[in-house]
Amino acid sequence: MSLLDSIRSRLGAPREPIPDDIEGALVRAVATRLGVEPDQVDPTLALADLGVDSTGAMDLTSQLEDRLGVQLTPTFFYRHPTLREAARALREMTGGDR
Amino acid sequence: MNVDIDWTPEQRVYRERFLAFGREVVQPGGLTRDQTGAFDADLWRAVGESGLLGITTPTEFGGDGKGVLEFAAAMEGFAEGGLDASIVFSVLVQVAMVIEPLLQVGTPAQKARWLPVLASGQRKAAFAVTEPHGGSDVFEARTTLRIGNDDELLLSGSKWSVTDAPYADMAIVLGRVEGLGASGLSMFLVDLAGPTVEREGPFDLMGCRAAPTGALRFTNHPVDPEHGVLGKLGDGVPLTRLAFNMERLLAANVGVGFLQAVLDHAVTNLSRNESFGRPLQSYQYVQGRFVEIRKHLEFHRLLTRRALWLAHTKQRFNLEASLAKLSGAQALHDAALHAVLLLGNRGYRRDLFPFERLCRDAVGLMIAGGSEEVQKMAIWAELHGENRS
Repeated sequence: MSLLDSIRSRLGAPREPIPDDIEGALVRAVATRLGVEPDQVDPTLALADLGVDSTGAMDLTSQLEDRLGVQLTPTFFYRHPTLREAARALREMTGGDR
Repeated sequence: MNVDIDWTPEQRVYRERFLAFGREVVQPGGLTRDQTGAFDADLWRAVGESGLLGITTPTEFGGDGKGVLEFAAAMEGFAEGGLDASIVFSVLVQVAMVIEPLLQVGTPAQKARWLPVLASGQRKAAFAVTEPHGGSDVFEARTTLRIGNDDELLLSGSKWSVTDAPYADMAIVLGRVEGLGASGLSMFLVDLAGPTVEREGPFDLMGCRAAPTGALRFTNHPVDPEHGVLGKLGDGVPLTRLAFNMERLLAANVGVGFLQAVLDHAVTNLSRNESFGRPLQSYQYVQGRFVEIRKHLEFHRLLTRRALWLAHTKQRFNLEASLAKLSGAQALHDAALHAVLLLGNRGYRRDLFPFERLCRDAVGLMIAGGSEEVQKMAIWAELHGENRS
């Protein structure tokens, strides 16, 4: 696929509905990534302390963009290091107090 | 235990060949290039014709088709013989940061277009990730690609502190895509010809003064809509890491060549000196400085060879490369300073010895490819990962 077609495809990709429980969705996404149960993921810990490296954080950021239809900076998880802080920022971005 | 860190006979041939090339072609002009801060196009052409840039490039694209160890052996000799960190930097950008990513993830069309001209030195490449606002935080790139009215792809933004920016023909550029956020952060292959690229520089640097470093400003600069992305769209982060890891590994490796040269020059020149009726090197305090240089050389060579071996055997080498780069830059600075002090007033003269220049060049090694703080962050991240696994 050409670069132009890749961009068009990415821009036109359908978005999934925004989950009501953003923090819970983040916890489940990280748990899946780490291969652990969601109750083992503490949303008040920094991603790095949960065992997600910077490449993993970038992947997670990309997933969030695709799922929520928001644009995030590549350093989103540096600015909002815990899942709780990230969920709060995402709630504000998506305009919902969920 | 089965340990052999020496080069193979074939690798030794590469090392000796480029040691001689460095001594004959590179070293004689080093002082002038440092004083003028000018890029030497004739030297670059000679380096291209020597085959150094194409050692890792497959034979079908005009290279030798060898691996990282053969290139490392050649660069160790090239550094030792040439004693010029500027040209070493330019070579590392071309091979470690542009040719290597192309080899690993380039499409057949991209390889066919770029590898022959890069491996021969006919085209000069740059690696443009840093932006004026960002420093080492390269993932905050603001340079953006957008789709124009006629479906053309147009790049706009500024890149800063780019080695060879004033003269490069092409660049790998880290940028975003308009309408996409982090998931669009990508590496674009950009032909730098045309009026939509403005260049600034060369900057007046403390060291590595003949590695022309400057800025690139893109204003709706066209990017090939077919083959303009390296790897996949969104691969900006892993490809940046790949390039920086290779650069750290190979920059650490040239430190071995520089350290060997510092030791040899210091021994040779000090043996002619006397003080209070005795050879200067018969004094224990003086001997201590030689011991320090030798210690730096041996420690640094062991660490670097281990990192090279991991890379050669396709194992993860991020931690070792960062450690080797960190220790190598400091070791070179300290060893060169020992050499200056050993030779006293003569060592302090730029026109007699290269040690003062190497002190300054070593500071460049501490900054390029990630500052000391960034190296430590990378090392900590690796340690943290190891401790969890």
